[in-house]
Amino acid sequence: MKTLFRIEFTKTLNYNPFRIILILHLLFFLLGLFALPRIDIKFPFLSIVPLYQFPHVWNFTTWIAGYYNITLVLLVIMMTSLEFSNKTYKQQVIFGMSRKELFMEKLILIFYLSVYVAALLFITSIASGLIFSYKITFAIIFERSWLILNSFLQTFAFLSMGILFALIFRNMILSVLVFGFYRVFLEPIVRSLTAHDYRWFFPTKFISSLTPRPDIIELVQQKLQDADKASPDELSNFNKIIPEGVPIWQNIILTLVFLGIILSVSAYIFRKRRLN
Amino acid sequence: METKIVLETRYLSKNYGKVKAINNLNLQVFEGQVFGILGPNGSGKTTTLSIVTGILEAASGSHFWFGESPAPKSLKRIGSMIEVPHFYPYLNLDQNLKIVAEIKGYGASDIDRVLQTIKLIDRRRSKFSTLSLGMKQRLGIGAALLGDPEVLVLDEPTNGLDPEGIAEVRTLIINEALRGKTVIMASHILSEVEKVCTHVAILKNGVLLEQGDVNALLKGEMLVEVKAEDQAKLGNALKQCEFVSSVKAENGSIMVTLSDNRTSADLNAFLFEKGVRLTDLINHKKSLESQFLELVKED
Repeated sequence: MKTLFRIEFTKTLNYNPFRIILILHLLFFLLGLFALPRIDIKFPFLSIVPLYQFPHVWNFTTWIAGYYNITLVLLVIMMTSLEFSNKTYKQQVIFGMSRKELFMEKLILIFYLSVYVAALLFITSIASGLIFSYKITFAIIFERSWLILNSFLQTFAFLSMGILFALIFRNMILSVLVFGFYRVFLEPIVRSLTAHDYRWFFPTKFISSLTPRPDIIELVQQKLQDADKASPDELSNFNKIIPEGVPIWQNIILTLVFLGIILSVSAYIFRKRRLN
Repeated sequence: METKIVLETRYLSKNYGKVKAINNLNLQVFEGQVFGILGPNGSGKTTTLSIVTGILEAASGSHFWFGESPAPKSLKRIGSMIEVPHFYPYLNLDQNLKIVAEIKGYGASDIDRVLQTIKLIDRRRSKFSTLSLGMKQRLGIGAALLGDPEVLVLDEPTNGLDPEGIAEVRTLIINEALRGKTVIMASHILSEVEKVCTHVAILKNGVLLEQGDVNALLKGEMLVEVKAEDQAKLGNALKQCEFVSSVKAENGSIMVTLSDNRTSADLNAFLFEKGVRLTDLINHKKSLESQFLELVKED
């Protein structure tokens, strides 16, 4: 396993487009996260600063990170399909690597990218929480830190979809286009045509719902729709996660089942498909 | 001492749609042999090597490395280069060879020796994409040599090399064979097989035509050029000779192929008995090329 880690690190971290996209991901995430409090959009009745305070910051950063996952999916598709076009999968088999190990290599790639996201979220959440919070106790700091694990699962699941698309289409541009089409158009359209109670059972929906939208935004939306419904007191005392659709534990189960399916299909393709 | 079988294929077959790439192929390669797989384009050489190195799955039949069913473990005892070698274009030679060493389970300590052997030590920090075709081919051979494997499997190893490079690769293969390595190489260059290999299997349309010791194949038939004052009488006499396998008129002479390990002296004696006095008798070592062409023309 250590060997596979070393090989995958050598292959990815020495590839300039990979490094550049990863750095851009980091920069845009940090910029997006820390530029907002500078702007500090002033609604007539609240400030967004509480989003950066413990424990809400865990909710906010993990939710924001979900939107940046598309960049990492692009990276995974690029690195997976590149090996087809360079014919390096075939070459590695010639050198004695099993097809199972080839698949493991790609799992290692998405694992370390998911760990990177989790680490990034942990550091930024702790940093912003310490900077912006007035009341800091151990219990408050870590109250919602479990959302990091959800975010890890979310990233891993999205990136697994990237592997599957790259394995099916083998071509980077085609895989990215089809994934984008599915993510942005196909699933949302089909979902909108589905009965309301079943809309939560679509892959990108239940995976995204692992890191729910911060409740403050929910309340702002309510407020904008009907200013009389929410009072400033109500807004400053928000202290719970408003789950979208189904409870979070159900989203976790749905994601794990879905992950099992797509990884099994990917492993099957790796085992059976011609590598050249 | 008993010689071990390194590679054995049993009734190996592979189809590409309706095309039979290889058909019931039975090969046996023994330890220490330099085994050439020879055939024209499309004869199934690369398909055979791709199956035994695990890139392709056979439609039917089986193959065994070191007497065992193929496994990644056995492939790590083999150094292979199939078709054009593929490496990571954005990595340098050192990094690419480190990956190969990791896969094979060896340390990076052998990389220097290999780069010296293939004469690319000065380019070790160059990206693979910057190498010429010949250099890429040499790096492919270098990767095969990494870890000093027991067996080398090389598919068209001199492809893309200049004459000097071809000579170097041939010397390299012979040197590895002299060190006791088994070498299995596919080639369509007959002279290459003749110069390098100890054994040969000739394929045509995926079917094994002939397999055996290169020297035995060469010694089995001798080509003799003969000329007499009475060419008609010479022709008739040759038709009666039992150890003459073929007769062909060529530029006023007659080219005679002898079988059963007979020599030109045997032929001269036979013709003298028949009252034919030869004016010319020239021994030609029958090249593998002419035998090969005869073999693939038949059928």
